[in-house]
Amino acid sequence: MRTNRRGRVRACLILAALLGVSACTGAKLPNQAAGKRSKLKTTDTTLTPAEAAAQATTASSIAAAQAAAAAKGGKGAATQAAALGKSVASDGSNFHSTLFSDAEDRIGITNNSITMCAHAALTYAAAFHTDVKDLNVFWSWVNDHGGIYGRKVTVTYENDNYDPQTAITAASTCRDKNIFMLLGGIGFDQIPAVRDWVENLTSKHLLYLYHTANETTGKRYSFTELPTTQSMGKQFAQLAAARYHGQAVGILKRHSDNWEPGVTAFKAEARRLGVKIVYEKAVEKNAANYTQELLDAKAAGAQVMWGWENALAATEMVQQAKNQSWSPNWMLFPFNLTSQTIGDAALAPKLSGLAMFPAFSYGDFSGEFAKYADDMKEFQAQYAQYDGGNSGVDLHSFGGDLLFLNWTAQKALYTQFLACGQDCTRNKFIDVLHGYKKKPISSSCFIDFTRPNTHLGGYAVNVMETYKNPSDGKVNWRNTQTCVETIG
Amino acid sequence: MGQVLVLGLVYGVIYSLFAVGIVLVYRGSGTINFAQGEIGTFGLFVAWWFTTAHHLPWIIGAVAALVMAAALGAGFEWAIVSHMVEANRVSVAVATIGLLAFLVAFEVRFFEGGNIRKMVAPIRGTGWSVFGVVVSPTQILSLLAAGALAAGLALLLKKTDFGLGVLAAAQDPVAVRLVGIPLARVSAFVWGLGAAVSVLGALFIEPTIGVFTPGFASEMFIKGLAAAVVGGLTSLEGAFVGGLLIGFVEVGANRVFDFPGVKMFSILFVMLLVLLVKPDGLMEGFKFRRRALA
Repeated sequence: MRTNRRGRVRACLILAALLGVSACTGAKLPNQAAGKRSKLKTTDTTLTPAEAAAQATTASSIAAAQAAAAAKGGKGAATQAAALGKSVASDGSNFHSTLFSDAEDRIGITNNSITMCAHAALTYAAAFHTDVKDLNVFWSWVNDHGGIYGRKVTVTYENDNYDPQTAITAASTCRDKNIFMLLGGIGFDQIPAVRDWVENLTSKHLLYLYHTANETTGKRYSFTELPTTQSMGKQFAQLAAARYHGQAVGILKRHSDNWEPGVTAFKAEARRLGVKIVYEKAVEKNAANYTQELLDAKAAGAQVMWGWENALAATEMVQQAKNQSWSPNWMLFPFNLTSQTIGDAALAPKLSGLAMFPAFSYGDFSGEFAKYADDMKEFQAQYAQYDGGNSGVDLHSFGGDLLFLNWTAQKALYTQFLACGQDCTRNKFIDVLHGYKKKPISSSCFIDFTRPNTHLGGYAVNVMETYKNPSDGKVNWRNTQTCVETIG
Repeated sequence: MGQVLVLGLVYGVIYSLFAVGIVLVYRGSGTINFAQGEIGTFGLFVAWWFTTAHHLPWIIGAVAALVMAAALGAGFEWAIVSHMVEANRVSVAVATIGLLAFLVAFEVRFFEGGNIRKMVAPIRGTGWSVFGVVVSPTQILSLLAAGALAAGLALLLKKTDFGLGVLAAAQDPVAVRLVGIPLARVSAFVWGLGAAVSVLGALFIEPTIGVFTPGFASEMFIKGLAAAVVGGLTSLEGAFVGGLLIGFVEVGANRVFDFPGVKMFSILFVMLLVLLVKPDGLMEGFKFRRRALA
């Protein structure tokens, strides 16, 4: 029994999603060790000095990057980065947040540390606590190379057990740790609960960066850089119209008020595009058995099934349809967990998916992967290097894509911290977000906080399909379209 | 209607197996083993380790899982339950919740349980279409196995002194001792057998669901418990009948009504109804009638 490796991957699966809050963002990781050859990326002409610092890759030092920033801007790097905190808001004016009082503004950040905490579905807490270092490979790398402007980054995790009330408890525990920022992991159900809790705190406020959720306006302390539930529902309908034109659609969806807005958006867009919906059924969380529903959908004439559920449920749905000798076209959240578990059967027909994060397939840098191969290689290299080359994680296995998601999210956060500058505070970080309108790195999608909802920055998704990785034979997902807002 | 019957039968048989395990323990020790479902999951991990991780035939994995589960059940009885003879039965039930928690942690830690797993089916093949439902060879096998188990248990429990001792253990332990049946052995036997039966249920239902994780069979336990209660909690025949009834009700309600949670709601409704109308279970009346007719 290999006791740790896969358990660790599972823990990573859960936690990788946790930092999906920034899955479509990220930046090159600067290796801040001095004395190595610089590989500063300069292809993106919109790079700010601080971003140049952020994109200093494995051979540059933080000092070199900051010097480059200073040279370009004519000011010290810290000053330049701090200037980013005075971003341009959507109305064109410089935005200066005063959301946090002086007493709250510097909570969780000192001259030598940044403390953050995340709530996530750490159902398998034992495995998680044993192997947490594997999840923080990126932060270990950063800390080993000087931290963020000399500050070491600490991220801890609290289990929300996929439950809204537990999530609030977890978030509360996080708050007690005096954190700079609360991070919200995956979960359409628990994110809104925590978001409401954060927004309604009357003292010791929190800055909350969360994973995708149903859209609401009027938020003050909460931000997301990923598309909303509604947005994804609409895009799934566009996928059905584009890829399965003329085919009848069946919907198997999670019974949840938090998931339902996605279905409502799907149906509205389907109506507009002439997509025929012949079956719709809500199922309970962890229902496990969907055979009856699948038979009903089949009898209703569904040719395409939209599984609006999590990866485990989606896997069970596809598998149980196969058991009934039925192979409709499936539209799902694309996780390698599903495709690898189902195996070659996931290729006949190919599964389709939409995600706010990029596909990952170990060692494959061809096709759409080439667009962000540099990030993939850097990610693989870090995991190969840490823990003496044995981080306990098998990137070939079905944790690989989520670990990549996690890694890119952490890297994105790192980038934003660099942009926040040496004298970063919570208010300055908000300033950075309010002015954010760019595609930070190769594996990210465009983030735009300057649109009307200034607390929502994510709009684009990656369209994916299953395929067989030629290098290891695993059935994984790959992008067919990268970072699109409208699928057509 | 045909589809409801087929699916109800397929699932009902599995619920019956879990119900039998619950009833066995209840009859032998007068308590509910809340870890019954998770023991089934534990068995799946054992079987997976042999078959998928080490590419051994399904039957080897299944036998290993059954043996280990039986050892686990008997071992728990020896280590914990036997020391709680004088304790309130509720305390014993609480101890089984401890076993449940332990098993989940164990699966995660030692069977890489964080990941989802997929077992190979005992028999390959796509199966046969019955009323529009593809019934797999594994599902046919589970029907046959359940039937064989029912017949075997009936023979063992009603035709042997040891079996009679099992049936009487919870109700009159003194009398059982007086007729020379070692009560400790009876108790260990029912805990071991109950655990093995749960593994059997888990092994047969897993290919239908497709994948498993820690906690996989715990929902089966809830349905098995409902089946056992419906059947009278002390009746093995009742457990089988209750399991089938729960299966049919679950599938039928899901067909007739369209609201989320209808499956569990219908199960709880039937269970409450039986408890209100026939608190001793459906089979209790059947026995009475049978005696009266005789």
